[in-house]
Amino acid sequence: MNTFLNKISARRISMAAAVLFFLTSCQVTDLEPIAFFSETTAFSTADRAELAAIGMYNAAQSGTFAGGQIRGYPFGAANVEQGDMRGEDMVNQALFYQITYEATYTPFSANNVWMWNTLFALINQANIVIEGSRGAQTEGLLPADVASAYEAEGRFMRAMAYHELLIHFARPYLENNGASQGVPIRSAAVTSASKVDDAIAQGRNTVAEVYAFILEDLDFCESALPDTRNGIEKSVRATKGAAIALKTRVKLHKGDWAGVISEGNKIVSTSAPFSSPIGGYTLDGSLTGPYSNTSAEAVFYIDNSTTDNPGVNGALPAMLGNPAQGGRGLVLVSPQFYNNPLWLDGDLRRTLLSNNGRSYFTDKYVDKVGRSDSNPILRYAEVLLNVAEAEARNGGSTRALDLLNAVRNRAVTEEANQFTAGSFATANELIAAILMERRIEFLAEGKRWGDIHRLANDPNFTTGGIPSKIRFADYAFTDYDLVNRPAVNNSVAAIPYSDFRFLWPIPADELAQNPTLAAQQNPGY
Amino acid sequence: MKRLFLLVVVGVLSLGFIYAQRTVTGTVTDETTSQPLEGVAVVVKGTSIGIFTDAEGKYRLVVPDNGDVLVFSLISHARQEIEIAGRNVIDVVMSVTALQVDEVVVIGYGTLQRKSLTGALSSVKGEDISAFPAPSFDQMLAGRAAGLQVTTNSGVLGEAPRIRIRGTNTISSGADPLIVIDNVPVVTGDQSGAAAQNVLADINPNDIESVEVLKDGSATAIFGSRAANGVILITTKRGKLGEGARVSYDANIGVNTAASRLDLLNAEEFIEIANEKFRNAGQPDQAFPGPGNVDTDWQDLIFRNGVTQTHNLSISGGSERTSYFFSTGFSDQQGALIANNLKRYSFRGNVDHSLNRAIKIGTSLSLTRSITEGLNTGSNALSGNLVGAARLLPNVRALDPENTAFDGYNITPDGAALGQDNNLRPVDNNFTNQSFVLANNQFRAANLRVLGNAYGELKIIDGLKLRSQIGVDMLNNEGFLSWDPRHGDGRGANGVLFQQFVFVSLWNWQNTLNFNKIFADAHDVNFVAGYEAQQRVDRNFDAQGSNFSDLFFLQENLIDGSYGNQFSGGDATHNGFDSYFARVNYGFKGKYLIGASFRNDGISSLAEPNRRANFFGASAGYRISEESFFKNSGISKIISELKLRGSFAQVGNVDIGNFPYVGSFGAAQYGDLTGIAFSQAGNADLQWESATNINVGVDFGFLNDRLGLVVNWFNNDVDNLVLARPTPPSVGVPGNSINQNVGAIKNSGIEVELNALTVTKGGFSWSTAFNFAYIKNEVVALNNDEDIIFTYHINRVGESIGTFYGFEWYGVNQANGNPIWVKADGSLVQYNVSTGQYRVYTEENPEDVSTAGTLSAATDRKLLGNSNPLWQGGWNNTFSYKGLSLQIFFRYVGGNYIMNVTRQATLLNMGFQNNGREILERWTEAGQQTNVPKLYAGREAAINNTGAADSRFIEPGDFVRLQNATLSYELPKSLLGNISSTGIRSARLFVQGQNLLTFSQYSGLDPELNSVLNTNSQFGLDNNTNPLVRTLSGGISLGF
Repeated sequence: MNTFLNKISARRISMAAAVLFFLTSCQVTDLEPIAFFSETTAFSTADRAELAAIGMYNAAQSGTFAGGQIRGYPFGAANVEQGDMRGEDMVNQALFYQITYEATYTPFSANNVWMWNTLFALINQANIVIEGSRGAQTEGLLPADVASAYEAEGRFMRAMAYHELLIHFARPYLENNGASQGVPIRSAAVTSASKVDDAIAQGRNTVAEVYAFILEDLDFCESALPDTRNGIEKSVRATKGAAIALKTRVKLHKGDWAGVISEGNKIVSTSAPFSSPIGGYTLDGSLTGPYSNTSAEAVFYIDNSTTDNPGVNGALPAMLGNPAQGGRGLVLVSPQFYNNPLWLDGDLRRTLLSNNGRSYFTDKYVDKVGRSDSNPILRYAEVLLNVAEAEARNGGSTRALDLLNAVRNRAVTEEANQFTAGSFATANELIAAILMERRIEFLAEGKRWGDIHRLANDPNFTTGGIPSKIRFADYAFTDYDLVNRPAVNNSVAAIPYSDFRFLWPIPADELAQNPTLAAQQNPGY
Repeated sequence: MKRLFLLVVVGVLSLGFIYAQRTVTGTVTDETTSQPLEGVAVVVKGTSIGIFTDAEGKYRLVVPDNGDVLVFSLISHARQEIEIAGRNVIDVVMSVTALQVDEVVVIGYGTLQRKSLTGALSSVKGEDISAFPAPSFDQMLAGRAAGLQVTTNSGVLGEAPRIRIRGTNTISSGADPLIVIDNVPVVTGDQSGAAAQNVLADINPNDIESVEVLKDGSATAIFGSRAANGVILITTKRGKLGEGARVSYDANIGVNTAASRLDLLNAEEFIEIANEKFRNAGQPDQAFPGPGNVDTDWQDLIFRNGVTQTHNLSISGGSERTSYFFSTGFSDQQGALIANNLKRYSFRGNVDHSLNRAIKIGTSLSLTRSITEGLNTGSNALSGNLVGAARLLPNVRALDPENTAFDGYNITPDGAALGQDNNLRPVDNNFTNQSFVLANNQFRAANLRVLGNAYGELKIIDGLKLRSQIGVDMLNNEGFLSWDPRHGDGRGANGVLFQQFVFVSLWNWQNTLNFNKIFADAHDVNFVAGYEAQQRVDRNFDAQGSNFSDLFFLQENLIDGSYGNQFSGGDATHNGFDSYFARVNYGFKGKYLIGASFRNDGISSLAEPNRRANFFGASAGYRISEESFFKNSGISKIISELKLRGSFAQVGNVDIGNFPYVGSFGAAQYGDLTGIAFSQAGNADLQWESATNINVGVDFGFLNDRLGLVVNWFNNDVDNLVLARPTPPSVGVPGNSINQNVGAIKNSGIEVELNALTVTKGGFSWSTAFNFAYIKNEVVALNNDEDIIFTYHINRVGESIGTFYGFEWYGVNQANGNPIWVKADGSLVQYNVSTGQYRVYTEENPEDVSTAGTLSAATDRKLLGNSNPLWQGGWNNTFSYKGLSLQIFFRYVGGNYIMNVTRQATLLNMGFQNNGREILERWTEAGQQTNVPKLYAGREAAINNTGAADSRFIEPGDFVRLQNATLSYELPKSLLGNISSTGIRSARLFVQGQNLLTFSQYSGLDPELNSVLNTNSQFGLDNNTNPLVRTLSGGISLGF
């Protein structure tokens, strides 16, 4: 009996041992991610470096807004909406942009907070591409010219992001030649905790330092970027022409008229019809044409597509589009601007407007359902007007007038209404006409705030700060009236340039995590 | 309860040899009711010879020669030892007890008698949570066990409750307890991308036999790296050997209603307030009475009386070798919110079979189909139901029969917003017509779930068992979302239809060697050692269409060619564990108890060098009441049980995401182009998050165990937190955080559980169970001890996790209606509503608004109170008389505050939207004392400090709730007639209510509401959160 039991036990024990042996040979913890690359392999091949360069633009097109939403921050759409809502030519209809519109922003209000956050997120993505392509070149994975071109794409986007930061968070360059507080320059990629600690040590650089940094980047871009690209990449990735065009804008903000002209001359022929030897840019023959990213006028646009766009809460056709056409119409054309006699009644650009029986809206962005409209960041028309203004301010009024007319006469087709040399008694009248032309031509393209900002302390053309504005409740549809041009009550008071609200505050999260900037908040907040 | 003696019965039947000497028979009855007691174990002392009493309370036992004492035991009753003394008939009267020391409780990888426990463990009986028609069993655990916090965040069916055991023991990682069903760790949380859905709702509450909540380190240490948040073990019902088939049918039908409603302006009040907002801002009136002076209460259009019904049918029993439990359940619940429904069809089969004396095999298997229909409840969504009902204008009509393009709903002609009727503008931000949205948009999550295990057990020698078990949890979730093209969320895209397929597959293989034996009648050894491996894969893909050719195609499924824009997406991830573990419990004469456990865990979520870690636990207990000096002293008459316990353990938390250490580049689409971009900052040094748990406890039994008291003191120190360390936005790190092992958090507290049989007299009985827990949380360390600041909360060293942080409200300036706050330095600042500027305020000169002031986010915010409760518990009372029984269960929570964002941002908004009635108290004239500032269109951001915490909106969260009350009547056997002819063994009728009454100072809908689901650091936010559900129901339970 005992032996029998022992035998059974022995058999059972050996069964048990066999099971135990079998199971220990199992490897269940040796897993790799399925959905993403390790950072060490991102620049390991030329193809992946190309992917990384393209992926950087995603941070410009669809940075994450509060809680991970996509609303086109910073350049997918938000720069346009914020830029227009800080100005007076378009009206805020709802609560979405009301804080921006009425300048009640705080370090918590989402719109300004997320512009800061996503612009710096873009800068870091750009720095990662810059360092990654340099590293790939050092390791021989990429030829020098290819690596430099990727680096230049990074530096182009970095420059663009820094300029956008400056116009919202810092005083204009014209105040004390940029001696005021700018934003911190981040030139190293931050990918780990120790690099965070290094970066935090850098406080706000001066406005002038940031301008110098931007221009250094753009000079590099000019030398390293390709003249042209194929298909839509022509305008939705950085090119040599885009870098030069951006320099004309940046130098205009600096008041460096000669600089604008010399940059402009690289891409603008001496006389009409104006075209660019680099990239072949010309004005588009059609008024609706420029809003396609393959237009001859498209210098640098941020691409959106049906499958990837700022969404119903951000996309330009949704936010600015006429509700009668399926848009949401939260940003409208102001009746005051509509009624402005300087915007001629016969100006064909009025055909880019439509109404819903209550307000007028822009029709520049057409794809209300698919929301695939690109964001026209740099149009050739802007380059021409940048150079026109610089020429006019620099005494070159003939070319200035030609440049202005090149843009204006596309829409002002009646000869009687077109400007001639005799239209302006002084250079300042010409400059004023150019500035007005910018408002008309770039209506609903978000450029208004940049002009208000840079002109705030211009001796002759000051905007004085944030202009007074009307509210949606202040007018009725009948106030859009080109015959009587009724005056509409401006219930949002103007905010003088000296007021702290001229600048946006540094976000509270930044102050909480960054002891250096905590001591450098814009005054008044 | 009867299952708990399964082990004994198995022993009896498998031994099969008996020294027949004489036969003893008798009847066992209950002292209080004088009714026969079924299932009482009658065992000859010192042997494993025994039998259970039958339905008439009768037993018949053959007693061997040497047997002289019979032990009568039933978990719910005091155990009795009776000398046979030559008798052949022994009738016994048993009295119920509150402290069930002989009860066998489930612990990790085994079972143990309650008296042998040295750790902190609470048990909840299945019947306490299954008797109610609730969306999921986990909700019903609230208040049932000391130290277990279950928060029902809203009345949305499908939203998973937040579960915490002994507080929140981590900051950035998951804080949910590990949930193990029949030994298989299961998938929890919301897996659907289309509708809120709690996958624990897949479990049929009626199948649950018991729930054990493991709280301290010694109880959880065997789960090693997964134990830091506590463990909930769920055991489903099984059949009983040697018992004929028992069939039971339960049905329950009731009504769900919203337990509370917002107090909103009516049309007339709205017109007055809205126009005043504009007038104060220098703008013309915008609001005018609607057609026929319409007065719409939008809450009537989002709430309803939802009918709920539940049916369960089960059959269980066993032969000599095989036992079985099969059940099928159907539950159809209509929520109190229109469009919110939950349906569950469930099946379970649990079978155990002994092949021979050595080998036993078995399986537990459940198959569930559950379908949750949801809605848009987004706090800030323009089509969110509650935010819509609160903000939509009462002076416009919900319906406009002439508007046929929109099926007769009142909607602007372009479809953008609710129709404006006679107002001069539509509702601000184009809020949509909720009635249309709820009628036309669909949100659905449908699960098909297979959950179960199969095991084989080999008895090697007596007391030594090898067990191998394979468990699976396979979950297929089909998400469906359809948005009407005309109005609401689908308008901008001309209709949206989204379908998603989610597949979660988890397998778990456990091999354990169990040794369980008593040597020399004194040394009780319980040993388990094992190996466990687990892998989980999560995959999903989706397809979406927009720009639909016709509404028709938006009903059920994507139809080829019916939509212009096509989208698809997907994602996948996985993780794996493997572990070696061992535990030993040793008891000497039932007096001295010690236990120790060890676990070595490996996890795929960490880089290879840091992948494995060891976890230890140790515990000891001393049952003084078993000492002879105690037993012989008079005190044992009063104190029948006294046990001191202590434990120490180090455990871990692996709920840290799947690859938190990998610096990574993810896919990054840029318009028409595809690329990759830096997506996570890596940290190859990332280590385990580990907790050191100490628990000291005392168990008392008084008056022959009629009253039981359990007291625990505990301290959990969690160190080396895997902290998503916030990085400043200006360094541009994705997600503005990096995972680092920095920081520490601590939870300490006291728990008390009291069970008492207060009265048992003349057929009347009252039993009561009370529990209380006090838990103090403290953030001990953070990265450089820097604050982590959220929108309304802060994590600061020395404070409780998620403490409210914001501006200190002072009041309204009587002179001009400006709101005033207290700055950090104690000085006062007002917001000049009329000019939109901050100005210094002085008591002496309230009219003066000449001096510029600031209210600084950086320097003027203060701590405003803790968001996590300090104390909480439950109190259950059962009153019985004859067949009548009344059960009343109270639950209470307190010591916490709530940030009422609903009030701040919605009810007191300054847009062209409706308001709560509090706004009627707004300041209108000089000298007026009020707490509501002057109105001004568009200035709510500054007036109410929206987007930040403000002590004006922080309210105490204490509450006492009458959670459940049940009145039931057990039909007397005489009424049922003869079992053999009717087949009916028992019948019970009942009516019950859930969430019947709440006592609270909170001004919002309910003090339990939370808008950030399952959060660690952002608890206690009520942001347009839907009210809880009140359920009234009745039903019947039949036994055949």
